[in-house]
Amino acid sequence: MEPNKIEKQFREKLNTREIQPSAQAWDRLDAMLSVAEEKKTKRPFGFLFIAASILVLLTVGMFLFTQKSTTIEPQNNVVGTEVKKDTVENSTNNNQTPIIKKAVQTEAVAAAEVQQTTNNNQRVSINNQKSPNNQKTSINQNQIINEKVIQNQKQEVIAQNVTPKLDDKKEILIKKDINVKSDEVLLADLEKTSKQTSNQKSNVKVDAKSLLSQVDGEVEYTFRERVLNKMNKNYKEIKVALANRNNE
Amino acid sequence: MKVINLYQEEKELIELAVENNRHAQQKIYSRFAPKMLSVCRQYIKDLHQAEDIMITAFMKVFTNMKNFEHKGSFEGWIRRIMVNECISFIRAEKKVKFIEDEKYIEESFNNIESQFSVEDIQFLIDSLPEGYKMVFNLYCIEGFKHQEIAAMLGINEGTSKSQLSHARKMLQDNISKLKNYDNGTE
Repeated sequence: MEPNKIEKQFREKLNTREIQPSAQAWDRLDAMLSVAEEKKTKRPFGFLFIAASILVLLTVGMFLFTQKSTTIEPQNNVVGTEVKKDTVENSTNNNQTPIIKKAVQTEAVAAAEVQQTTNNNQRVSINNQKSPNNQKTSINQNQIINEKVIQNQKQEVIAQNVTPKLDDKKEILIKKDINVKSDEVLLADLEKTSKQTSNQKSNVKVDAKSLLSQVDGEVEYTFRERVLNKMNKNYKEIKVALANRNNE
Repeated sequence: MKVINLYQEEKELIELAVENNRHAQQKIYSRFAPKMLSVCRQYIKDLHQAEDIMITAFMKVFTNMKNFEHKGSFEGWIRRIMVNECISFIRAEKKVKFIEDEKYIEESFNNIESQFSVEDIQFLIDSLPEGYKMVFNLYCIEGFKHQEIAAMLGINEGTSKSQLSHARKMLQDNISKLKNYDNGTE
């Protein structure tokens, strides 16, 4: 079926028709073309950038790795020497009492620095007086504990005396009680020993620790404390200022 | 001589445009845009939408310029890109479904001798459904064969033929209506 006259007319007229596009049409096309151009021109540069960045990262990584290996070794050495020093100091502290005496003296000195009114001799004497008191109290406690143990033993004896009169079941129960009581006795013994040891050791240990900390604190903590105190003060000031502002 | 000069000029322009010479691209655009907008308008009723399609099609023209072999006419090549763009737009947007009927009536137009204005012709084409319109445009205006149209639209050749016959029938009815309306007013 061939196109007829009407269709020929349609074609001719439509093919000769021209519709002027709007002025913005070219601008839009221009923008699209420039965007496409940018993409095309950026591509080779993008590859270069990627390659360059990889190279840079690799070199930096290698550099850092080599540096790390050198820096780690001296750190290990430092740690080793420090540990050795510590062990030496500990051994001296544990073994020898003169050092503790010295520490007591230093504590006295520190106390003198803090409280200049009191005398060194008085301080020492007070310490000496205090320690016997502690020993006395510990002895008293021991006596009390011994009495308790005796009481417990008495109770056990009574219980044993009572048992034959009762039934087997009750016997078992009482045995349990005895067990419990014996446990209590053991606990009392443990407490006794622990109290004794704690009393004996604490007199020495607490002194050493406090003295060491005080001596160290004067050397090391002064700067830290100063900073912390300043921080605290500033924080409080800020707090106060904020509270005031909020109240206003 | 003049034709050869024009051809030479066109060739030079194309070569420049391939190298992304914006001036050459603008020259090509301003030479072909009005005709191409007319082509797009054949398929798409809304002029703004037709212009959008024309711009995207021109984008394709410029990005694929290096693929243009100087065998056929440059205008024909651009026009083909425009038509393809319009068809793919219509098929994507309107989701045209072609009814696969192989029946079509071999019916010839009454050879109406009356003359129509371009506006009337466009009005008559606009009044056709999308499927009929595409086949009619491709067959009667662009001069494609049914085989080509079938390949372009992804339909059977028979469907293309039946669509064309339906389009013609509808056009004839519309023409007679238009004529009656004109006679009525006269």
